[in-house]
Amino acid sequence: MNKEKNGQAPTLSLQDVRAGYDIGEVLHGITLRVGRGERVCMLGRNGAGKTTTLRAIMGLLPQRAGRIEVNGNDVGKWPAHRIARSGVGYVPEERRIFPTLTVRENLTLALAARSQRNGPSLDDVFSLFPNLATLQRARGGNLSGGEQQMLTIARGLMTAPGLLLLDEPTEGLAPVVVADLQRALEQIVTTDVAVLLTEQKVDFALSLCDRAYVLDRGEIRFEGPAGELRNNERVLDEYLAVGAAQRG
Amino acid sequence: MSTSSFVIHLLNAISFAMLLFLVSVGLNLIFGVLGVINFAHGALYMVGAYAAFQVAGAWDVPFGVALVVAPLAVAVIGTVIEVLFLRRIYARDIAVQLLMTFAFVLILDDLVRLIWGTGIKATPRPELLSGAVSIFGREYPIYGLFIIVLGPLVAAALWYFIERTSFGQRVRAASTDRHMASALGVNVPVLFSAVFALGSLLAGLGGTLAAPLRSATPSMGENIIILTFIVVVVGGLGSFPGALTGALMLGLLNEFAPLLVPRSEMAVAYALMAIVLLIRPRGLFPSPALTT
Repeated sequence: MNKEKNGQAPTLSLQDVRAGYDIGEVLHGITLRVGRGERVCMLGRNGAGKTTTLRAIMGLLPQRAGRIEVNGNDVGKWPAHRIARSGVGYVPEERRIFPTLTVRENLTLALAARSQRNGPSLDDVFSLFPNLATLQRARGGNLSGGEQQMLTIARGLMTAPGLLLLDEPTEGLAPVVVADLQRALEQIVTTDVAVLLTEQKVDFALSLCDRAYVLDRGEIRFEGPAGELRNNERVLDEYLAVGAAQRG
Repeated sequence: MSTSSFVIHLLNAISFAMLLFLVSVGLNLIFGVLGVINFAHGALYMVGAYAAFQVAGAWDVPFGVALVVAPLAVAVIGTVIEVLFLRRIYARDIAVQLLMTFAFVLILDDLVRLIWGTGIKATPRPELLSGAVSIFGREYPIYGLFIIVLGPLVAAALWYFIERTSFGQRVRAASTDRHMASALGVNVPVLFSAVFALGSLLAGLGGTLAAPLRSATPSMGENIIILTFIVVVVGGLGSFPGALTGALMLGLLNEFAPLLVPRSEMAVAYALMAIVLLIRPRGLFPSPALTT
């Protein structure tokens, strides 16, 4: 694609993406886009295909069909490291901290993705996650779940992403840790990095994001502004199964 | 046993252990990062010995040149094997990987026979290291001491490389989660080639150092790979301290066991492996990833 168009291309665009694992297709034609600096969330139950979508974007699944573009480039055949170097930061649900590397090494490893882009320094991510500063020399494997989650996000930011993929960052964490994490995420979304966030905590996700997609069984069931979804009881009930009492 | 003969035996044991360590740590590096058990590692050691013979023996170039050229030549051969063949089968079953590396044992063995024939090829000791020193009134070859010094130096360099450089940082990361490393921008295929080349280089260095000691023969690869497997099984797959410990244990047993139990030969080494496997099935230094 030519340069002129590159300047206007969305940060991320998926067109009719079908993908899955050896056991079968999980995504049955996903179309979505994330504009420059836009904050988008993808909501859905467990097994809806949220994680698979992020993996497909990151090049960690063999893409079956459809088109995935990052900044206007067709990345469908790119290896993961090239996608990372093009400015996509990945924060996986399973955290995937390198257990034998220190906290500091986990962070500086992400510089491999930077090429010529400028990005946050170690001090910048430490000011976002003060806990990590004191744990710099600790091995990743010795961190608590909450600390590991913060490290995963900090590591994603160290790649200097134009687009950050966040896969259920608050899942399985104690409420006090979730509060810390939410504060950090609120700070991150005020910067010019575009975000594609998957979450189960609907209200939290909608408060952070401009736009939302609702995913169910590998298909998109809703697309619209966050405020619109918040008032759409039918979609919330049918695909997210959250009564007012369960929302958090 | 007199003190002097004990010391001589001890030096023999340690110098053999250092040779075993160099080869084993290369095998461990490749397993720890790529997850491939490289049967052809012994064959690469053999190629190193023949390459050293070619340079220092046949061409009569100083041994110091062979010490650089022969391991590098083996590293190039390793890279070709990795890039053209192994790279395609990382996702496949481990049995497929074993079969492919075994195929390279046969291919390299036959190539060596084609090029150098089946006879023994003796490489002269380097002039600088050909003398002997007096230890407790007994003559001991300087070359043996040279290997004893070189082993720890290579170990220290390797430790620094893996623990203190950004290349090593990527190697350690990819050894625990290659997909996450690539999602952070690490070019994993290139990294794997480099690691395989480095492991091959270590096998080649072992072969080069062995050439003036034991002469190059077509069967030397099979002999060393069995010993190397014992070392890494005893020490723990993927562990550098394990490779060092296993190599020292095997070196000592290999030297002293025949004195205590005549004609025991390899039986003692196998017994060591069997005992360790019974007590600590994952070796003395078990680890989920590459450890230095």
